[in-house]
Amino acid sequence: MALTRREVLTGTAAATLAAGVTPAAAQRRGGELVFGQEASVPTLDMHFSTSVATRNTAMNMYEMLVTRDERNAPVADLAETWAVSSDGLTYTFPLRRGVRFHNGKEMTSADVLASWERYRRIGIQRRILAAVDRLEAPDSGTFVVRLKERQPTFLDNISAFTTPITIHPAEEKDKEGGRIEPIGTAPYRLAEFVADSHVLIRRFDDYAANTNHQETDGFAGRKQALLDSVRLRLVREPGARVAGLETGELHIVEDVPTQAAQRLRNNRDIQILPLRHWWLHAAWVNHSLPPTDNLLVRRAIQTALDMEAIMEIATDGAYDLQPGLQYPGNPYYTDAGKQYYNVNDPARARALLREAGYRDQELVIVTNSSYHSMYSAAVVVTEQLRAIGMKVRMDVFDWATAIARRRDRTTWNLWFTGQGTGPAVGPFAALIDVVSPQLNQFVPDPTLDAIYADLVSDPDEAGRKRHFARFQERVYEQVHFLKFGDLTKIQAARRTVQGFTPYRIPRFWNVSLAA
Amino acid sequence: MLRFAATRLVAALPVLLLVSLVSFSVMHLIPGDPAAMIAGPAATNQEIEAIRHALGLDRPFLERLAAWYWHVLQGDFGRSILLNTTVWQAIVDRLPVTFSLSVLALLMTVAVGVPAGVLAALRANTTVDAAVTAMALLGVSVPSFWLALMLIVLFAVVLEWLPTGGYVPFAESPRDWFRSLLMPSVSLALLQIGLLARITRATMLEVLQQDYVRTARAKGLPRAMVIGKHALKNVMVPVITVIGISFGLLLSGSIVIETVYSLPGIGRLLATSIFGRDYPVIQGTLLLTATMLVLLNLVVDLLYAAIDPRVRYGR
Repeated sequence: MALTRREVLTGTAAATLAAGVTPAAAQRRGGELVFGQEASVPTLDMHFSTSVATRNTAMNMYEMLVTRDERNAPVADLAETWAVSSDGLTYTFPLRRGVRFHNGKEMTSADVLASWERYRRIGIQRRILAAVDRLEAPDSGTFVVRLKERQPTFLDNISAFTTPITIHPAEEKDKEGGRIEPIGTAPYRLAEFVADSHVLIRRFDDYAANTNHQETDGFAGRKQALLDSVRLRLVREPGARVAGLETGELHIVEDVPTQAAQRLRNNRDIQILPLRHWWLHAAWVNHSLPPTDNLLVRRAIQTALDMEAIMEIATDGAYDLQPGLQYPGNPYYTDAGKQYYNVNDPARARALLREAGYRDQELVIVTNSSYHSMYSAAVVVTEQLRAIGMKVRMDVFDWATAIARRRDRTTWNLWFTGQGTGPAVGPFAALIDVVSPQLNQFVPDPTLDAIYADLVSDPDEAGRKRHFARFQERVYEQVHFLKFGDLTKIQAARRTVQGFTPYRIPRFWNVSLAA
Repeated sequence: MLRFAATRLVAALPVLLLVSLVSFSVMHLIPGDPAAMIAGPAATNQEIEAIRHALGLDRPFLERLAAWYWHVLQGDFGRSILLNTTVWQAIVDRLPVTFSLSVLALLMTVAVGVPAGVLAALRANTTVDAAVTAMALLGVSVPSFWLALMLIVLFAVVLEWLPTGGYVPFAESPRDWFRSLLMPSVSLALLQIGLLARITRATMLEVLQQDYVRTARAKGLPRAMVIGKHALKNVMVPVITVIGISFGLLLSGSIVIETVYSLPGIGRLLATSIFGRDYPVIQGTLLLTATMLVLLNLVVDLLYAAIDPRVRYGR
């Protein structure tokens, strides 16, 4: 019998809480924790990577000036705090004193300045610093950013961890992408990196904990490295990860298949740690290529889809259905446009196709074989659209080819994807692809562009939330994006692991191993 | 013989040139590039172009091809786009894993496959023959992926005798090195054992019908000498060909076995670099694999002469 989503989630809530509440004072120091992760770490240069595997490792080695708290709101980390000038053009960051790099050098504003300058030069998402006019280090303990124009979302942008602005020694400033020495300020330092095998990080004994906090708060808070070391081992095969957890070779594993989670739940030595709303399953819609250049056809597709069936097959039952393009609990969450979501009305969809004058034009779906859930979702969508009389072709590629195809507007109508970190870090990056002049804007939508401009420029937070609700409604109304549902990522840990709280990226500070 | 070997090596150069040319062309012609992979799906075209420029991928195809050949001639295989290391270092780091795995699997294959095949031939059309043939067929038919997982469940989870995966270098602990490679080697060897046993059986049956075997028996030679000295030596010629091919395939790396057992070998390196479009690593790995296959074929040819006095090179 398959483990249902509810069984996975409700049956383990107590275990999740139990895992996270052990007070640090009662925890044992020492030991090596082994984390089984599913993807290879391509690089440890966070300025030059969008890889989740890189984040899993490197966010325990590096820190940012401002990062995200438990609810994904900006919070100071290497900065003591921040101050914004009355005209909104100058941000001043006094730095925390006594912070040392893993090479023993004390961090100063010169290092922050150099790191930000490197990010402006080679950072993959350096567009988030486009509004920056000047970066200054007036004294060793202060960093100042002057903007060309007011940007109310500036703190959200610089604290996002999609491609984080991590702080490194100034000597790394001129290094090219991927060539940096892995030196940071976090509680763990790099000991060994064997590509395709493992990364070993050890406790940094000179780590200066942030005394402004009492406990972990997102990527900030009071961090203590209780473990001697953490070994992040690459175990690609889910069955081998689960076996490793059962034998005790691995202490924590990610991406546990739903079927295996059911078996593990009966194991008293193991706790299941579900991360709900981890990944948003969806497809981009091409407005420039027939038949999806016709709004009525797009609406017919939107109306036909049964999201429950799609997500059930795609995720093996580990999902939530909700219309938001943000995750519930995020400050900007809204259900605007819900009337367009999960309509599941094939009769109305057929009527819309007739109204659109649809005549057997081929609809091309592009999906990939690299991510099983995207492939499965595409198979179900293909069948549901065929059932309303559409002629559908499904093209399957590997991920690299699928990405290349996406840039060719003449080769696809629906492009299957998933968004994980993007929606988590806020509304400004989520769905930016449909705003001019970004990737999916094959056919500009001036109304949507105007709403987005309001969203990123309104100084009032309540106003920005209203704009985001309008933005989401417009995305649904014009069918820029077909959202299917939210995937639950299931992690599991041995009961000997204490203080591990599920988060978007595993945090190994304040985590210990019981004797 | 030396002259033969030298001629064969020179003749291999066009093969290696062709392999590298085809692989370079195919990899650069298929869609997708490392810049897009590094930037992620949400990157703008402008961001991807900036990365392409930084990586030198915006240079014309022929210019890149010529530069690659020029550097290879000087012993420089280039730098990996994704691994922050040289291609040579990436290969050298993984070669011990794949080499250890291949040698162990080959030893098991030969140790079990040849005797099983001989036994089946000597007991042709008996229960023993049927059992060996059935086991060989099973070995060839069972998916290595499934078998590997079943071995993990039995020997790691249930019996707790062996680790579920990972690699321990020999220098760190010879015992743990062996333990880490035992299940992967068995998984790889079972397929090869099946193939080798079937080939050995078929060849041995043929040889046993030969006049010289009948003569040897008629002379009153002991059975062990007839089989071991006269028959088996002649069986070994086709068997060595199969062993050579098997070893070549094993050295190219087994993506499935290395994935299931989390071994950082050549197979995984090649798969990761193909999915990430890490062109220099793909080129270097394929060139190395082709070179190893060419050398193995040469060794096999030279072994023919050592085993069969009728085979003479260079006369």
